[in-house]
Parts: sequence; structure tokens; C-alpha cells
Amino acid sequence: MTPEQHYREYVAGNLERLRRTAFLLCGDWHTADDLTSTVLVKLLRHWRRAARFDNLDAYVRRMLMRAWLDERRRPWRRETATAALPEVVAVPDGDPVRRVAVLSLLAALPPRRRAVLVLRYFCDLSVEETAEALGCSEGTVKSQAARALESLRAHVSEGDALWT
Amino acid sequence: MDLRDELYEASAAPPPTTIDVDRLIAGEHRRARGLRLLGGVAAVAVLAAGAMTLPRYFGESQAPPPVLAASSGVTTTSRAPLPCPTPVATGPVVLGGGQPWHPVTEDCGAAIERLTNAVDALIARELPGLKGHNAGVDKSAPPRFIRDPHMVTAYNYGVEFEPVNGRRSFVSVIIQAGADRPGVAASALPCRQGEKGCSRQVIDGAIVQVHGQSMNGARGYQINVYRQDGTQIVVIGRCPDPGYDPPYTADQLVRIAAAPELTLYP
Repeated sequence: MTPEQHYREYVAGNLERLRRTAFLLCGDWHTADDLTSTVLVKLLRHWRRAARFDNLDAYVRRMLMRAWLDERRRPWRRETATAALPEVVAVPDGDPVRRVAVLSLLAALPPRRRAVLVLRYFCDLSVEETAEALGCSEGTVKSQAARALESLRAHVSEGDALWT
Repeated sequence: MDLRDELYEASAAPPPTTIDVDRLIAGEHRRARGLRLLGGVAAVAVLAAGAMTLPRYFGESQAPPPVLAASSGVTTTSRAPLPCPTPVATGPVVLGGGQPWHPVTEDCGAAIERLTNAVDALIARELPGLKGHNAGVDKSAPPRFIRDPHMVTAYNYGVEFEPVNGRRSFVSVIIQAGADRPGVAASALPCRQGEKGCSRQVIDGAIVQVHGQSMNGARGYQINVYRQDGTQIVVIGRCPDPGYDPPYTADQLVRIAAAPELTLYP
């Protein structure tokens, strides 16, 4: 199998997972596709070296996190501060509405806290793996996760499923 | 439903992707080709610039060393063609850094031939008993012009002598067109107050400065001559073996440096 075929096989098997992770980070499928493309192009450039890594998924995840955090630093992506948080609308049952509510809650978090939640609860990474992906200490991951969950709880009513 | 399920639910059913792996790979191939092309163009440009620039500075230093044969003092017959400064290979010789105070009009090759013969004769006359060669090793340089952006362009000739009592020695002669009038040039290098072995005298109108030298234990002399016609001459003689004097005196070197035939304006 040529390196290019190997690359294509890897992308075919992981594209959807990468897109979904990117989407949870940025909350926008177009930006998610941009981020995923950026990561895949970088991966292709270093494929001969990267293909030999023991944990290629962790490497790619780290690239995605860096791409996302870099993207957030760009001037046109900066969030604008508002005096008051948007009013939280009561969420009736129903997937589309609920999905928007979850994404809104995620969007209200700072990028690093959002990344911690996505890695811990969507990618099912341990604290140690999350710290490695974000390039920070395990203590930072724990504190960021605790604060992120605290923020989420502040915006959901008691008894909501997310409260647990 | 907990947060984990919510996240899975929120990212479920994604729209069709706009990512085309074929397009990504084709784009990367185009980029790699462009970089290779750019690298090739840059390499060719650097080589071309180097080929144009380097000979200008170092071309004259790459001349083959002279073929040696015996003579009275210094073995210098049957020389290879003498190198000249590249920009004026066939025109008048322009020595010295910057604008010479007094322009030199003698042909380059003729000047080198004349000065080399004069230095050989002076060494044979003033340093009898010493046998030297100018094979271009150590401090003995074949007659040539040195051209370097950081130093003056000058006629340069070095002779290394056969050891006397096991001690080596050499004499180096530099002749250049002075950029300053003789009086100004001479005052630019005064003897420092209390400098041991430094003296000044006038010989046939030329200002002659004598410096005793000791460098890392190697003893010797440096003679600076500022001739009225604008020629500057530096003669350096040293014994590289620490703690020993060279097998000649400062007066012998002064007689070489102040000889009237060492001029760029015959």
C-alpha cells in the first residue's frame, strides 16, 4: 500500500469523527470543515513521519485543538463581549431545539474550557490524554472542566438532564 | 441524558461534507511542485550571484603558486603568469583601498614583475646567507595582489627562509598606493609614548618608521615607509618560534623597505 493510499484510508475512517469534534468546538459546520481541511492538509504534508506514530489519533486530535485555538486568536474570530448574557429560553422537548441549546451553552464558554469538555465528554479522553492534547497540566484540565461544568449548570434549570 | 449524550446528539446527522480528499492531495502536490521549482530557481540565482561575485574578490588569490628554481637568495624563477586585480586585468594598476592619492599608471603585470625582481634582488643583497622560497606556505606568499572587501588592495610578496639553527623566519613585503599624502599618512601612525623599539627617521625624503614586534612570543620588526611619491611600503620580518630573534636586524629590513626601487611610480 502506498503512503497516499494509506492516508486516504485513514481519512476515510476518521473524517466524520474529526468533523464532529471540530463542530462541537466551533459550533458551525462550515468552520468545522475548514478546521478539518486544515488539519488534513497538515497531516498529508507530514504523513510519512506521522504514519509511524503509535498513537496517530492523539496526534491528529492535538493538531485539531491547535488549529482551533489558533483560529480563535485571529482578529475576525474574536468574540464580542456583551453586557448581559442572552436570555436562556426554556427548552421544550425536541431534538433540534435541544441541540441548539447545547451548542449555545458550549458557545458561551471560553475556547479552552469548551475544548476540555469536548475532549473529555465527546472524545472520551482521560484527564491525562486531554492535558496532552491541549498541552497543559492535568490540574489545569481538572480545574477548567470543573469551571466549564459550573458555567453550564448556571444556565440550566435544576432538574434538567444537564444538571446531573 | 447527560452531557456526553447531549454532545453526541448535538453533532449527530452532520450535513454532507465539502472536504474532497482528492482535491486536498492534488493541491498539496501542486504546492510541493511549486516549492521545488522555487527552490531550484533560488539555487540557480545564488549560484549565478556567487559566480559573478566571488571571482571579483578572490579570483586573484586562486592563481597557481610559482614554479621554483635556484637563484642567489630567493628561489623565484620560472613563475606562472602573475595574477592581477580582476577589474583591471589589462589596464593600469590601481592599488590601495579607496582612491589613491596619486594614480598608478603602470601596467599591472609589468608592475608585479618589476617589484618582484626588485624584492628578490634586495633580499639577496641585504640578507646574504639566507635561502628563501615563496611557495605560498605559511607566511610566504607568491607575488600577487590581494583583493578583499575588508582590506586594501596591495602588492604582496612573502618569503619564508630555510631554518637557521633550527629557527624559522620570514619576510613579508606589502606595497600599496597611499590614499593620504605622505605627511598625513606618517602622522597617522606615531610611536606611542614610551613604545619600546619604535623609532622614526628620514631616508632620501621617505619617512621610515621602525617598530619592534612581539606577538605571542614571536619576535620581529615592522618597517613602515611613506615615500614622497605616494608609495607606502610595509616590510614585516619575524621569527615564529617563540623567544628567538629573527636572523636579521631591523636595519637590514630598513635598507630593503627604503630602497628607491620599491615604488609604484617608476
